[in-house]
Amino acid sequence: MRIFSYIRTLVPHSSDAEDIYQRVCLTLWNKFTEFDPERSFFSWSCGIAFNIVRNYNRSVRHDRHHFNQELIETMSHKREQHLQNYNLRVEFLQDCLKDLESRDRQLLRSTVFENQSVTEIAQETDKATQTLYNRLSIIRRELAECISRKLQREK
Amino acid sequence: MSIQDLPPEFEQVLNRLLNSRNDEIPAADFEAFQQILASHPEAIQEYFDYLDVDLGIQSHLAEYLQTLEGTASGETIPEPEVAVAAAVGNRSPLINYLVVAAASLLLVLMLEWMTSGDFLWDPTPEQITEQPVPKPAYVATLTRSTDCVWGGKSLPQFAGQRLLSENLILEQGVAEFRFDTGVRLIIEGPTKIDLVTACCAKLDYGKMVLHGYEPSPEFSLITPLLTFHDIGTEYGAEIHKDGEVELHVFEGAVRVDPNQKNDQFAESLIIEAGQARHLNDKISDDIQLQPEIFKREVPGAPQQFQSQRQALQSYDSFHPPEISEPEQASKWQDTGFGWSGPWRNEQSSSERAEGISQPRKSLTRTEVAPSQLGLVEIRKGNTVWRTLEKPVRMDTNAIYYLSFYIKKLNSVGRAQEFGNLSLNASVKQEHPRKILFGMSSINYAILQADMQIIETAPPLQTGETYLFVAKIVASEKASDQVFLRAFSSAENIPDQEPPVWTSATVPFQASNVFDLVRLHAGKKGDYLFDELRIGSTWSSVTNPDLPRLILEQQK
Repeated sequence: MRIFSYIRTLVPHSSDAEDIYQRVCLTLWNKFTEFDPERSFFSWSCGIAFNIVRNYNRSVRHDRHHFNQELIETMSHKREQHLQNYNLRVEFLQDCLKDLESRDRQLLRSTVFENQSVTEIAQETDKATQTLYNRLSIIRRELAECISRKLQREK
Repeated sequence: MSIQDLPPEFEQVLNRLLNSRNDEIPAADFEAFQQILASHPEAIQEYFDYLDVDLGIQSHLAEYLQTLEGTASGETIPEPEVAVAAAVGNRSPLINYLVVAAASLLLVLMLEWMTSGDFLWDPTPEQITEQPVPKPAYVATLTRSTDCVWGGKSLPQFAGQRLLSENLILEQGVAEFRFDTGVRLIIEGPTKIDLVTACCAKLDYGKMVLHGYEPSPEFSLITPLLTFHDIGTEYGAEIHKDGEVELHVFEGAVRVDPNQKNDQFAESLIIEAGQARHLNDKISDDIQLQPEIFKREVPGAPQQFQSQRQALQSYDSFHPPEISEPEQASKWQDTGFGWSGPWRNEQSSSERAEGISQPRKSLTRTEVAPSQLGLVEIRKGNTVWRTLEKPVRMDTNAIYYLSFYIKKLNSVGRAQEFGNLSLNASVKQEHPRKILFGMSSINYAILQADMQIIETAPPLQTGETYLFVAKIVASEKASDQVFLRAFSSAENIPDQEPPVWTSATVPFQASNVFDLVRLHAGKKGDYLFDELRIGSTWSSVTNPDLPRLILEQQK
């Protein structure tokens, strides 16, 4: 998950991230004999993923969004560090989700877990699309802050 | 700036990006989103946090990713059908492709590595904090730097510093690394380099010159698109951020391989001395050779006297202020600078040491000022001690250099003929440690540090004067290491730290504070010592004029 999260950060679209993830897995498989066990496997994998993202962006359709190279470089370093305690943050997320109101949990479930489009949900619930985006934004921020508070306490 | 202060459109686009399956976001909005990310670190943090929320919620995602891994590696694994179907409806052809089969043990291991980034038998990152973490290895030395401004997390602090396998960003200036294989790499800022091993570096962008080293194995320089292998080479390269390279070969040849082979670039390319090429992973165009656009050596910056003075911490020429009668009894014990008190017979006594003074002689190879004349003879089991004003601290990040002249007299190859100089701690320890440099009874140069004793053949000569120069690498969190070079009188003393040492320890862990210097001769040994220096730079302990200039200034 950490390697996928790293790739997903550098690629705006989830489907692109999945394609790249497959290529990364194949490359890791092929190059595994070159891996130095004294180094971090995660860092080594991130290095390979970074190069594949960059090459992928060169071949991507011009009408498809992708981050520029400078931003990818900046984010890649930060993200690699940020993901060091990824497992702990996911654990905290599970706790934080319990504190959400059930309708907020349902909205997250529909959009993130079931991959339903916000426009479809807006039509079904007779709400403005922007209202739902705003609500999702608040929910994500609350969850992120909740995780951050728990991390602070952990320190 | 807090997250709340970010432009409101940032969060709108971020949420739409996370929730849109297709390209529903106008290009202008996406461009604005990128610019906010690039200019606001808080925006990047928020982006990471929101991504983690979404990825963390998708509890089925790990199973789905394993499916992708199985596809990528050509192996098949049990298929999480329901989860995959829920995750992405447009993946059904892929799912149909998968066949349920048992994964090999190797695949299971790989899956673990790929999904968690950890080995099955390794603890999770959170648990790792409780386990001893192996210390990373040194791969190179920062030998010289001029006007350097370093960015990133790792900031080299001084020339002579040993460097771990790490990422370095040189924003300005020129720096030279010498890898432990002997290869020298000169980089000019802005350059981003990753020191991978002693024979491999990654250069993401920037300008560099590589000087190959004859006995060294092939050195690989990996750029974003290409990898260069030196063949007895001096070459310069400018690597652009898009991965394109201008390569100028000054000596020898360079073998170039694409990082990903393709139709246009399927075979290695050899570029010979006198050639220059513009390269990427598909094209190779001749360009004009321009050695003058590269810094092929680090420009020498003559050090100011004051900084050289500060670098020399302790000095003793064993020069008695007055010559007594008999001359051997001249008071040599309390001269020089950088010491607390005189040389004494015992570590903890105040009784003055008993070495024999030779006030009119010197072991130095160059003529010395009258104020430097004199040396001391230590023999027949004699030991003398002196306390340093500034101790040699192994519990901090520092480089120390130490030098002294040594000459062995009257050897017949017996036991107890050794003689040495050592650094010791005055604090009583259950297992005292020291760093020792000297000659063994059968004349081998000897280096001792931590639990390591290294004797080096061939033996040194009795009656010959040697200049011993040592380098002590102290590190607070990484490993320590000690190097020794014994120069005979026929050898030139280089201005810069040399690539070759007589002996070196393997890296070790120590946190001692050495505040005592000891000179010692075995019961049947007879040694002359002269010009003892401890400093923080190579030149501070080898520049023949520095002590004289300092002594003249002190008058």
